[in-house]
Amino acid sequence: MVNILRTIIRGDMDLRTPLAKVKGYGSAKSGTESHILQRISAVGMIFLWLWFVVITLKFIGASDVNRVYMVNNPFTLLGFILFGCTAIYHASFGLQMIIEDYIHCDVIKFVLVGLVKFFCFATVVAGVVGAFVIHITSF
Amino acid sequence: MMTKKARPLSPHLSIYKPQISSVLSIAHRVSGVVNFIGIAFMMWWIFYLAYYGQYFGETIVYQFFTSLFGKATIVLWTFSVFFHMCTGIRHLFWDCGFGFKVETMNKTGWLAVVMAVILTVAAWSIYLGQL
Repeated sequence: MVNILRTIIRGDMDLRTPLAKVKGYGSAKSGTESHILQRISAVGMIFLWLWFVVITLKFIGASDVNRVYMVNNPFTLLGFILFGCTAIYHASFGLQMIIEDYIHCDVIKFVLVGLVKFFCFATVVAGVVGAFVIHITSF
Repeated sequence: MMTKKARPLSPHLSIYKPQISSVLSIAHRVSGVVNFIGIAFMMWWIFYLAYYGQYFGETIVYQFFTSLFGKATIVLWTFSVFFHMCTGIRHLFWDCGFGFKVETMNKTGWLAVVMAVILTVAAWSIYLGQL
């Protein structure tokens, strides 16, 4: 009774079920990109992570001179930047999915997703700048 | 409005018996977040090293990662990444339409766990062999 009064006062009297309200609207026609991009970056991450493990083990086993040589190698820099960017890119989709699954308040959800995406972006920039500076200053 | 009654919702995680499928599904998510924290830390640490590399030995980070607890953290983190990789490959097979039978799913689940352990042990054995 109170609910009916409230809907009448608010002027949005709609006694249909939530399902009936959304029926006929069709799909949002977007949203598959993030799914596909997450899969593509996942395949990339398999190879990049294995490369990262191998290069780290090589670095540990190398002499001091060879370590400097490895840091000087432009392909190490390229590989590390690809590894970091792909990892954070992949993670940004996963984190967004987790937030959207467990946070039901729209405002908090949008703010959190925004903050996480921005943190991901800042992290990638920090990693790329750091790796590049170490590469340049190692000559 | 009228439909907002406190009805029971489906995932009663607390009353389900843990199974390999559900445990791995949750662990895949948790390990993903752990991997993100690790990689993000690595990126910011490299940024720090690029500019303050000479003070590296005096930092609390250095003290942490040279302690036993810190070393264990790194080993567990690599296990988390290998685990996420193995269960992720399982997810990619599902996306291609393979491995949906219950027996197959249980087998690939255990295979992913075993492979993650093997890869972690292999990587750290090589590391210890090179010291």
